[in-house]
Amino acid sequence: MRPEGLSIVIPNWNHRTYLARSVGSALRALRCLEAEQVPGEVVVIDDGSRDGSQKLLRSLELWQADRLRALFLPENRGPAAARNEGLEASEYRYVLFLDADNELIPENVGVLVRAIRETGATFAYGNLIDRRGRDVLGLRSNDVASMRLTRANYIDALAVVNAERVLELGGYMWTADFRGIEDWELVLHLIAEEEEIVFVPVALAYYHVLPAAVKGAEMSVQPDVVLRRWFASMRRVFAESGTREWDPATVGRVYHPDLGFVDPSWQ
Amino acid sequence: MALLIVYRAGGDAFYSDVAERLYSGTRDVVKDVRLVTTDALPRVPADILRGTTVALVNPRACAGSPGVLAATGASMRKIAVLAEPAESEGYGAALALPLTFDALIDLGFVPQAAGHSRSDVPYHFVFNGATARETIALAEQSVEPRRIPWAVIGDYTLDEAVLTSELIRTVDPGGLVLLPPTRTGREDGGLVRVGVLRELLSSARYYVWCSRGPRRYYEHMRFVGALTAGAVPCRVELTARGEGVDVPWAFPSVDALCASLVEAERASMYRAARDYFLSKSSLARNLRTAYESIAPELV
Repeated sequence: MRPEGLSIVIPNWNHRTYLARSVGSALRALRCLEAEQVPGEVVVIDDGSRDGSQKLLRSLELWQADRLRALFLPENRGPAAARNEGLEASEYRYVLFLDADNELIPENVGVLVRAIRETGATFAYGNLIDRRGRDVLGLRSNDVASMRLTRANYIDALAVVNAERVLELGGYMWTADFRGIEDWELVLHLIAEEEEIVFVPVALAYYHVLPAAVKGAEMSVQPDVVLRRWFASMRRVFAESGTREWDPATVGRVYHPDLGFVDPSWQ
Repeated sequence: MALLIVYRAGGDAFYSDVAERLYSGTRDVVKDVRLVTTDALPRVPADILRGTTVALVNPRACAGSPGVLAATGASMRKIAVLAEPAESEGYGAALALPLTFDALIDLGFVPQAAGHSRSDVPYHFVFNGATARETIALAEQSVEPRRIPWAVIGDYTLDEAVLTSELIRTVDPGGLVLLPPTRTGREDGGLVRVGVLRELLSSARYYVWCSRGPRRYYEHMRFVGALTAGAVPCRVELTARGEGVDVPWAFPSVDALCASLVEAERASMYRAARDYFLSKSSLARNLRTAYESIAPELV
């Protein structure tokens, strides 16, 4: 079994402009965790970048040798493959996935770690604040997991997972069919496997909304036929719950370390 | 039965709490009172209804249940019970029902009389004061240190997302944030039952929310839930405050709120909110005044 602790895995593809912000927030999070006696590391998975990211990352490795590692994939393989590499390469039991263009709220990472440890959950997430520059645009990942997830995803990949358990379940789907929706597929997979998914009602990170041109090909929309086939099969699986009102059916739970499990009676 | 308080179970969490609170206060005043759901009302025999006062909590919702309008119409006296702004859709819809109410009880912190447009339905304001149990509990409530610096809880709005971000940036990042997408559509933002709100706030220092609502309205159930959980209720008023709104700890802006939220002031802020609440007479006493006017034989 892996040792207790948190690996912050940052998949990066051509986001050199934002690396200082994301990596900086991850390193600050490690300092906060140290104060709580939680060991940690930052692992950046460079997914074949061609914007100079590698040079920056090698400098960061020298500067933060005891806390940061960078792995360089020889060619671009997409976010799912990069996250799976991160799961394999990480040292600690829990992994927090942080996209290279986003930014942690360092003080609250420990709350997520406590939550996933205390509940034995496989997946724990918190609120993400959408920002464009200084402007707040909204929130995401701000609701408990329910069967509404079979209609649309509202839980971002920016979350803490039990790395060993996710690897046992096969990790992220990395095939072309699921490019751009691999995080959604993972959540549905965990639901199908009846894994514990907890929503922790704190703000975990800032989700920076970038201009569309920066996002790149990995966010392109998948063919309708693939999505329709996938969702039809998932909904058939869960139709055996036998109720027409199954969409609000809660499949996750709400947990805060200072409160315990919270009754989500707003469902 | 002298008085039946009727509400729609499984519906609006806010009005379920209002109904239970009304019942709790009324029991101290009226001997023969029962709290029933809309399913039960149509089963009350007609001869009993003819001698009973029926109070419909959130009449529009109650009217959606089969048989409620007919049963209420057969009762001796009909009271509409509301706890929302007079400008709201629910308030207007209640008075547009095919029922002639003998009275309307407005439960809240700020009278809605100025917006009550039906002169044929006598209006009675009841301040949503402390129940007997709350009076005792509040007197014993200590202002001990708490781990959660603040809490923002309610249906998601952009205003509250902005508020959350500022609280994180200027006060403390470790607040509790529970702002799921709107499901109930309550104007009061009644996301959770008061009991759940108390549970969520049991370790929080401040409960904070934004209000863009009507100028002469205050989210009284949020205040009660926060105060009885030991948290200081704080409202950011994004529209100008109206007349008659004298509730403490309402701020004109997010910046003004954040500047005030320092630990050293929390104890005095809590005591000021508690003193305000307890100064307004108990819920039972306020209900007695209303019932004495509406149905003297009940009290």
